[in-house]
Amino acid sequence: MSEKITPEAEEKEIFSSEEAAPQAEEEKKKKPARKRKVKKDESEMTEEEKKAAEKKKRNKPKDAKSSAKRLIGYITKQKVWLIIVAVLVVLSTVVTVASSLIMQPVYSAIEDVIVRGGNADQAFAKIVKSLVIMSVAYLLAATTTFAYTKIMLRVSVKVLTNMRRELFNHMQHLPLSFFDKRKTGEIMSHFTSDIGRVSDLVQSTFTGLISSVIQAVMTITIMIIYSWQITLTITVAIALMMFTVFFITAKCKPLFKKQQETVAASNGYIEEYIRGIKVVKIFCHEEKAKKEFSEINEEYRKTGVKANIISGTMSPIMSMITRINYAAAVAIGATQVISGRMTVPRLVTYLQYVGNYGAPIASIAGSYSTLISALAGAERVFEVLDIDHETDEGKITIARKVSEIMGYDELSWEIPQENGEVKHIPVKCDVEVKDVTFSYVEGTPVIKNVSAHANTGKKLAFVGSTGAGKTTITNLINRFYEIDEGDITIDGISIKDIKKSDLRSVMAFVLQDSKLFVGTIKDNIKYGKLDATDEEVIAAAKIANAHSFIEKLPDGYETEIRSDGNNISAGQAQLINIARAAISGRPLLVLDEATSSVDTRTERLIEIGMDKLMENKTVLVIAHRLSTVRNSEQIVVLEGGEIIEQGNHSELIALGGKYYQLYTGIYEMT
Amino acid sequence: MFKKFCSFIKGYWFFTVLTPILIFVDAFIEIRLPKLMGNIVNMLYTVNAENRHELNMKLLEMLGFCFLTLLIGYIAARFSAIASMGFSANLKRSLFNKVQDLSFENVDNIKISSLITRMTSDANMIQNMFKSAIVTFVKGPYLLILALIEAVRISSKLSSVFYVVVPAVIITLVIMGFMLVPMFKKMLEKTDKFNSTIRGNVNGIRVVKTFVREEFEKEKFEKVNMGLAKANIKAQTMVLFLSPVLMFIIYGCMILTLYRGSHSIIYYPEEGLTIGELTSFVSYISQVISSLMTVLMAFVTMVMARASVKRVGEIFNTEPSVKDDNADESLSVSDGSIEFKNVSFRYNTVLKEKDKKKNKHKNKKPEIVTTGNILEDVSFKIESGETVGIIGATGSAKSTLIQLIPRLYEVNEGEVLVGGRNVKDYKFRALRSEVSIVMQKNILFSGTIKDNIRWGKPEATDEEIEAAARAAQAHDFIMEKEKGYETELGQGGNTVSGGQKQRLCIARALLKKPKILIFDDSTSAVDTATDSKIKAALRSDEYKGITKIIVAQRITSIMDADRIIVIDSGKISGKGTHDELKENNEIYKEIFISQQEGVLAQ
Repeated sequence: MSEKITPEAEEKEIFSSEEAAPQAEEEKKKKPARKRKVKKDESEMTEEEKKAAEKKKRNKPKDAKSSAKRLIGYITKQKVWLIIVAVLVVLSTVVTVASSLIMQPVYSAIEDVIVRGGNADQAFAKIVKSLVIMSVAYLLAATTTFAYTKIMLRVSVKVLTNMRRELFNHMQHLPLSFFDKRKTGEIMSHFTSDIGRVSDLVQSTFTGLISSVIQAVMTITIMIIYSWQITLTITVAIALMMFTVFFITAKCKPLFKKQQETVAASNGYIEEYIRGIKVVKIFCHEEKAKKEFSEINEEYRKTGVKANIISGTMSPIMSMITRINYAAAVAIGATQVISGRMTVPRLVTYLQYVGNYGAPIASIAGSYSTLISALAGAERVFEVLDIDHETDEGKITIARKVSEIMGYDELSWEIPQENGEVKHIPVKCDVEVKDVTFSYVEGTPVIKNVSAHANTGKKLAFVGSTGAGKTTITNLINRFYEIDEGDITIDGISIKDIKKSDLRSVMAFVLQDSKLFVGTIKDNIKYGKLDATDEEVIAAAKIANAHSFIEKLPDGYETEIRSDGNNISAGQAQLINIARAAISGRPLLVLDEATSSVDTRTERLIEIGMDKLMENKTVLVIAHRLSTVRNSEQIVVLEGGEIIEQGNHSELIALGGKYYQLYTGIYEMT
Repeated sequence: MFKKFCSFIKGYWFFTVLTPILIFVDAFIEIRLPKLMGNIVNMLYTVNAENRHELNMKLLEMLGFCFLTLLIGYIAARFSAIASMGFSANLKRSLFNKVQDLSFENVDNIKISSLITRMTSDANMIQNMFKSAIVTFVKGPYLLILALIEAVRISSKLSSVFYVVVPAVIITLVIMGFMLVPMFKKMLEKTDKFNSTIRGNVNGIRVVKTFVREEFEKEKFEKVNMGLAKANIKAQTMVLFLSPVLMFIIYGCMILTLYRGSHSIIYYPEEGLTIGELTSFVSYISQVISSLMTVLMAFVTMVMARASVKRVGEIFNTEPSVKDDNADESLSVSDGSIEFKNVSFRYNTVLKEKDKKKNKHKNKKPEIVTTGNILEDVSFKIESGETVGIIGATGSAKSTLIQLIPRLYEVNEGEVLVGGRNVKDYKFRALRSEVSIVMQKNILFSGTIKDNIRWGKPEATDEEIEAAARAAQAHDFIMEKEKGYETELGQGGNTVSGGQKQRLCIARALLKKPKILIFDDSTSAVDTATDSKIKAALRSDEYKGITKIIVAQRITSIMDADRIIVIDSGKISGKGTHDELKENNEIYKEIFISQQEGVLAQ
């Protein structure tokens, strides 16, 4: 069996890379796999590169129509606000565009005086009147603009917050395979960049588009009204502009893509070689690394220059087109003025618009790409939202009743009968694994016909080499994954019939690398029992042997666990995990390689803590270090997903088989 | 530091100097255009069939200028692209090369994740700054000054409006800037919290699910989600406010100018203002305000980039704390013997920013603090070809000790001898090619499995590589892969499991066939059976002559060594064979018993 596909291996990867680079993680996901050889045949592409190529394709929405529909669904929840915004946008744009029209009376009044010798006071009064109207218009434009951008900000933040909430809440109920298949950074990017793009779209593109369209339409209409003849020239200019924009974007796209790739390659190389700098130095690889990087860097420089030249040329060309257009308008306008078909102030006002219609058209063209990328982002989020929740068809629940004698919770399985009555069976945690077969990937079973039994209050151990399928068994018991064949029962009830949350609420897990959450140590311990009192927290910490070190910390139980977890050691984190399991008071304990990452002295401390924790509990132990499993009632030796030996310690030693070899392998000199 | 950054322009001086000049010409023309257009407008008022020709000439003049700006614009875009990309490439390359030469201690002090951000995002920030320095930062002031000059030339009376406008815009932007800083800081904090909550949830999803804490997590998320939303709205509202305020200023100016201008034309024709001049003046107003904003924005970029410049500059200013400049070029390691003579070692740590500030008040300059001695007065000798175990609890400085052998860190007192010579006498390459460490944290690089093993010896044949892989017990699992030795390892070698990674790292070290081979707790993810096989392979003739040092926490990994050194909090607590130490070393005895309990009980 290949170790590659077991989730335990994958889990380790996630944790290890996560530990190393919490922030860089996210970026890494966006980068395609770095190609050492820059040129490579398609056929030579590795799995990962193919995946990266596929990912790039995902930048375009696959089904834009239905994604757009769904996205609109989110946005139209804020219908009333949107209508108000639309009205304000229209108002603001109309006022802004129209206010230039007021310029005309000003110029004609002046012209009236100086060219035709009109009454100065009358003309000036006219000018003042126009200017007053203009001020009111501008004031209106400024306030409406502020009002709608402000509303839109609220709407977009609301859409953002709602989508994030929905995604997070949905994620809580997804099957574990979802998390096993994805890296943390990938999931994070749904929350940050994908939803962020949607919110950008809502916040600016929506209003920008309305405003640009109105502006363009109004400007062009006014221009046509003023002089349709001159306006004919702008159709040529618009065509030229569109052509330029599309030509340059089309030319830029592959260049920018390539630039993006070289940037990713350069950043990837830096990340990898700096992370591995100590190895580089130990192997005297510095000079080779310098040479390799300098090649990648040169490639980055070359593509960067090309991409930047083309994109930098865009704006000079655009302004050039506008100016030619202006000149053409003046030329034709002059002819019209000479022939008396046009007045000068009218032409002057018209000329103002010539410089203004280009911007909204460019912005309409630009918002297309924002729209596409937002749709692609939304689609990726929807893909996650479309994944079904964990199946949970179990009907049997846990009934909790406070025992009068012990003062402790007494648990029982509440089994609904067909006649509508309920039957209660006390929870004893007698676990039986019956002929279980399971595969993560169809056709390659990881567990084959495994059977084992843990009696109430006893210890059952699974041992075997890396990748033998030990962790998989725990994943089946808590129904992170569903069994293909066979069954697992607790107190004679098939776990499939038990409601998942209730099934899991009888188990406490201590995992190999279980992360602590950001928050105080107390918060972390209380995770096992949310309503625990401080006394209970301390009692649990004492059981886990964690109290003494926690007390020595300057802030004691209030010590904040940082996101990088650097302020406490791996061993101490594990003690806190054990305290968390202890406080939960759950009757079934699962220890999955709980001590493999700590040194022997700490391991002893942990083991002492665990012995207390294990009292009166059914315990499942997974270990590759055999000293921890000796006192188990039953030990199951797994190899390639199959049971090869089974029995207690002395039986297995007497058998002289694999267990004997593994066990003595430790003590053998060879 | 400025000098250092100037050196990155090397090879691109021509483009770097020429770009601002071109930009100046471009700005000069751009400023003349409104005036030209004003002239054209003026001519329109008197245009007739006779003087039509003059107007056409003006239009041609304007078109000529347009083509000129296009040409200049294109050349400027080209030059600035070449200059800024060249600068950036030079910067990144020197940065990468510089970091390659840093010592372990330097890297520890700066921290790896910080090094990466400095080399990627900070370097990009500086590139952007460079580009805006030669383009935007130049063009903004040019335009501002030229537009002001032109405006004054049209009418000094109307220009008085700028006395009010320019300070008003600057003050508004500065005040907003000051108000925004804390708001954005808060937003960043909330974003951090938001991200770490999701990250914690995703990483701890097994814990969440096993403890059935989905609802609790939802509540927790709701809080950070709403917190971020609030901070977001607050900060962005401020930004949104900016646009109407500026609109207000621009439009206010235009109206005022139109009022005063038309007043002047109508009542005081002797002032000589024309309608054309008035229209050009109005367009200079928006020119002045928009270039004012460009200048201020460029200024903001500079301020933001200053932090990056400082962070990158720190790397360039870091002197490699271990250097081999004075080493003997010709010297090579003669044999695998090692000797520590009264070695003491402590880490030098650079104080963090915060602490530094605190210190400033008290005394002036303790920038570097040293920890207490990590290793104290350590002396021992290892003969060539010996196998030596080093044992001790976590934190007892075992790893530190062995890293002194290839001079990854420098001793503070005493000396380390390899092959009978002080490690300081060797060139790094000479020393490190004979001393190989398989580290606790295994790192592989992207490339094929073969490429990775070949690190040990670049000129190795396929047979040599296979032999090393066999000895490291990696051959079998490599062959199980579809492409065998040609299997691509992803970034960081993440496509193989932890145990497989360790075995590949061992193969890489074995291929090197050094005189000294150090295993720093490097088989922790390998199961005991495989571990034994690797050890058996190391005893074969092939690797017999190598001095082997095995650092471990588990007695079973080292009890068969020729000699064992017991380290306890930085001091040697005992030396000897397993049997000797079991008898006469308290610490060893304690560790042994703790790990043997089961066996004894049997």
